[in-house]
Amino acid sequence: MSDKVQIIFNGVPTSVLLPLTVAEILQQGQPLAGKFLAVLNGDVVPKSLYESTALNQGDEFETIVAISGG
Amino acid sequence: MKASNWQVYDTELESRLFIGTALYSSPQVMMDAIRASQAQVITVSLRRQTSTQSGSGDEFWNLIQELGCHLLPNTAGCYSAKEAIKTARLARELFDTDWIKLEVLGDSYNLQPDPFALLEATKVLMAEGFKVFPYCTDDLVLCQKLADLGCEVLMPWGSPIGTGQGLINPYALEVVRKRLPEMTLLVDAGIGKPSDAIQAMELGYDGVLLNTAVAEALEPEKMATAFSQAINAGRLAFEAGVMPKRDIAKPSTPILEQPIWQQS
Repeated sequence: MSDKVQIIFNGVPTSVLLPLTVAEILQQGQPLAGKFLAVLNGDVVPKSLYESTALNQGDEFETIVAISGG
Repeated sequence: MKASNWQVYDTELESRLFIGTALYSSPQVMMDAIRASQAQVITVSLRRQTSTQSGSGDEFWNLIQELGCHLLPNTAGCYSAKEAIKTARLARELFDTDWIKLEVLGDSYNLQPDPFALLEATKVLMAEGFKVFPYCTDDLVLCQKLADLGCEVLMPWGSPIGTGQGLINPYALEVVRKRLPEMTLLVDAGIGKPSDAIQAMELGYDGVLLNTAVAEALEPEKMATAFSQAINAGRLAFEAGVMPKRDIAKPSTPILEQPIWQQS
């Protein structure tokens, strides 16, 4: 059974269906092929845990990428 | 002739120029300019991906890997110690480095570092094993307190970021140099032209970090070359020992053994 809940995805309130893993939500966002970080509620999720880490209502999930800087 | 090599934490470097990766008109212009600069350290940053951002960030990542430089991630845009600490921790994961250019801003008008929050964040990050490169003002007491926390490198501003005003308070920078003779010091921010960089090096600063002066030049690759040569020249001059200033003129041509017709 699926539940529709709200999470914050890259700063934007987003409705998602639970259950949902980090691996699954990464496929819903912008394409991420190389170096990036998946950050759940401020903590980096190791790649080895993408499949087994589940999101919950109210979670903040971010993808962090490299950009130019001075 | 090349100036002497130098040490940044445990890394030996030849080039005394750190260069930023922002504001270039295209990725190719950035690559050409950075290569021309001969810099071995480039500054980078990190952000949450946004819906307006094009691509995956991979293009930039691949470019910086191609350069083969040491990466110095920054905490640009952070206005609190908490934000800066969080960003530094993410930067360590993303870029696989303990180096962090620690920026904690205190004022949005001149982007002046907040000295109190900077000290707070430095203390936490040093304890976590980071090699902190604090972007700070030229305040001597702040610099001394950052040194007390274990920083081996300090990066006081020449003038506010992106202004190109050069060294607006050379006295303060000189005092920091004199009072912290063992500290590795770079002037970071405000450098507008190669002569500003020479001035910093002649003061005895170990290096210069700049971005806008190259990226916004009409010909960034040529300007990067100019800065590279200027920084080397300034360091060579410092190592060679600049002559003292005198109030009274002193002839440079010897007056003994002049031809008889010049001796009146």
